[in-house]
Amino acid sequence: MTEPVPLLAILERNYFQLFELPEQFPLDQSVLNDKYLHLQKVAHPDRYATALARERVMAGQLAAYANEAYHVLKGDLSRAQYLLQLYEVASAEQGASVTEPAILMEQMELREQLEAISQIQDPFAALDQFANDVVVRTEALKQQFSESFSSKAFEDAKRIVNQWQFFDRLKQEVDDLATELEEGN
Amino acid sequence: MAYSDKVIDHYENPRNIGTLDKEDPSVGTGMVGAPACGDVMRLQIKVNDAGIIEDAKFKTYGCGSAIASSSLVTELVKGKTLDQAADIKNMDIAEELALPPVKVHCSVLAEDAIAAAIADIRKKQAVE
Repeated sequence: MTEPVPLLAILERNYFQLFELPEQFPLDQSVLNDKYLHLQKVAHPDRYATALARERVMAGQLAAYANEAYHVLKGDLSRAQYLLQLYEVASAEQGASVTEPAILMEQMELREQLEAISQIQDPFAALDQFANDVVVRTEALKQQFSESFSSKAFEDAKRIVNQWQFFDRLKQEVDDLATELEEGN
Repeated sequence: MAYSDKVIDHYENPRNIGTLDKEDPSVGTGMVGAPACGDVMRLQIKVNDAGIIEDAKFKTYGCGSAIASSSLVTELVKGKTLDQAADIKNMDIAEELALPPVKVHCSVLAEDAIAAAIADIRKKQAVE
């Protein structure tokens, strides 16, 4: 007979603690997946069929919490944002605006390029190239974030995340345009 | 999400979309962005010798509310002095467009863009 799981204590852990992962940016996805599946088993309603109502509710809360934590940690950008949040370096919230000219100028130019691509006759090669550039830039930002965060340069890390958010949005627009073009054919 | 008729109107028929020469000493350029939603907005104003904003252009990559907010702002600033334009607040824009609470931040972005454009032209004027 194993010890009953102290559910309340588990619910007080942060997302990394929940999955017994180190609070860092690099992540072993397979470990995350295993721990997540394990927690889903622990919190499975069947295990609480005869438990007290209070425990059943908590098990449900744990399942929901594990689900939310899993999705936040799984995504690179959301994991980076969560790390900043844990270290109380709020990344840009809804409504906050940045005016760093270099970042904005580049974003404006990239959007204009994408718009121009959408208007050329045979846009697929150009769109592929553009999409590839966006991926390369995003990977570079990811790397920079990882280095800044691990060396505790939180202000740099925050600026990198801001820029990364713009690239994330740009990637969505690239994907939307690709879908649109495919459907148009 | 349901957009108000005014947002749809500005979104479908944006006023004053385009670019002014940012090297022109009578042109002020304001660029702002919201990392949370990835929107980028550029607002430009052209000020005549009498200190009146005689032209305004914008380019916005973002949601319908962000486009409508910047479109409306270009209409509002025309004919105003820089001081009057600086008085335009995000709530004026949000109310005029009937933006829902979750979209009010788009009007904040537009207010920040005017402020940035005004700061830019004032800096140019100070150099002259």
